[in-house]
Amino acid sequence: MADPGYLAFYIATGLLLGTFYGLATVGLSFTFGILKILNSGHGSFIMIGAYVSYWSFVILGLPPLVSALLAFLIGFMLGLGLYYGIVSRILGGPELISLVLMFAMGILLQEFAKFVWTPTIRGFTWDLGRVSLFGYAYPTTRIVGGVVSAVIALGLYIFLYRTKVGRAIRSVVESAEGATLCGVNVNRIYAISLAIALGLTIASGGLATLYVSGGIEPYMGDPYTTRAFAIAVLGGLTSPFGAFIAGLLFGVIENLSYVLLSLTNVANPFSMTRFIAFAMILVVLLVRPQGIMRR
Amino acid sequence: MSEELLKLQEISKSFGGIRALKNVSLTISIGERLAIIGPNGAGKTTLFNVINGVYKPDTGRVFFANVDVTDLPAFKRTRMGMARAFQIPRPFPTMSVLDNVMVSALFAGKFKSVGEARERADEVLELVGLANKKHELAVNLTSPEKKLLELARALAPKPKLLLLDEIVAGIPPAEVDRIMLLVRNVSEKENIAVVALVEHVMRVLKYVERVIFLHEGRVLMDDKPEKVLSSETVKNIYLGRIYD
Repeated sequence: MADPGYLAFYIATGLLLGTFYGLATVGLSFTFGILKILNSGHGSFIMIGAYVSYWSFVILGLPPLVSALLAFLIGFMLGLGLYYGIVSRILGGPELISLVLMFAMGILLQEFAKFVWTPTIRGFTWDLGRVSLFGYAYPTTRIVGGVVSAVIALGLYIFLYRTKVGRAIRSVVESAEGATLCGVNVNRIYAISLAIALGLTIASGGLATLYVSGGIEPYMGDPYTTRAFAIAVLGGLTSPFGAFIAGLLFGVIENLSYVLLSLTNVANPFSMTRFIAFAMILVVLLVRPQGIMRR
Repeated sequence: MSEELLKLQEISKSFGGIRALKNVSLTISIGERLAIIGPNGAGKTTLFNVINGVYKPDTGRVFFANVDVTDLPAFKRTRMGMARAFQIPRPFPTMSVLDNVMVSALFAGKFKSVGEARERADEVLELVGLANKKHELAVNLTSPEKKLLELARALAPKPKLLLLDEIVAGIPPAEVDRIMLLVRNVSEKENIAVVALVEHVMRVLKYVERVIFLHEGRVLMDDKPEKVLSSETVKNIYLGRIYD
């Protein structure tokens, strides 16, 4: 138990899981930061991503990392459609409307999934073997998934800070009115942002299958909604990178609380893990209500 | 010099029962510098909002560079060469000064690549005297510096018309002269028409060629500065208040 490799293993797997949590939250922060819309149906988009990954694997034989690209495109188109079809009409209205809208979207997607794919719990295994480090074996797929998630997050960073459209998105976050005065078509930036956000969220759902190989069903998204909300708050709510870093932190906290609980024998570690993770977030927020990233 | 740049044709605008603008018509020529004055509530800000597209007039048309822009949204008018600097600056607070200006150069101006926009932004920041602050976050600037940033952002796309919304309010007189001198120089050099909206006309008088006096939503006078200021009507309604 005092074996440092044992602790390192749980921290490392926590970080790997965290890259997924991070990526799954980036979209939520993006939508909130730019459109000021809280995507209360967030988890359902993740669920759709998991199905995209599943069917691509089962029917087309595509590994999840490849189908994640497909998932991104689906999310992107869905985002554009949702923006021009509905969201653009309710922007500027009471916040409750967008909250209810996204909640309804979430339920709609769940029922859609249940209708076309039945409530059967599905799963598949994508196996690339294991990598051994200090006597502990890590599944290769998760390492690859972690690297891919980190690369996507880095790509988003470069997009936002180095490109023309990225600058426009940042300017809209800071002041939509100021952006208009600088000639930015704020409406189009909103559309692109929602498209990117849903693209990333659905793509992250594809990567979820690396962690929950056997749990693909229409209601699998709900725990991700609560986690993503907690992580987004931890990351400062409007900052996509804050969200990614907070996701890493959350993955580690969740894993370490599991270790901690297994040591004590007072509770079933599985059932208590999330409780501890959320309790720790409460503590963090008591100390830093602005989240971990904001200065 | 007398070629027409902006034309307002019988503009009216109401908010609820309040008629903020009543049949306002005016023409502004290329490269011309003028001030719009009038007491608080005269409709000055509404007029600006109608010109740059924040509000659509209830009746009347707006022409800019010979195009009817009445139905165009604000960002499209910005791209056509209308720039506006606000009384209360609206910078992007946690972006650098350079990025603030670059967004404007990229989207409102003809600077298509990030590199070109950066060059233009550097040029404009040099011009307004903020070059040494370009890597600071906008939120850390002093209040007069924020006005200069607002001006730099407005100038970056090389506009044809510069709308200055109380740009000199709330800053020390020495700064006012510096900013207005700067505006006049750029206006002369790049042939930019300038419309300064001011409550205290004396502060900008020597930099304009024409003054429009707005009162209760109507143009009461539109003439050379000395004529407007010596008019009995204007003295009674407007100047009297200031010098009482």
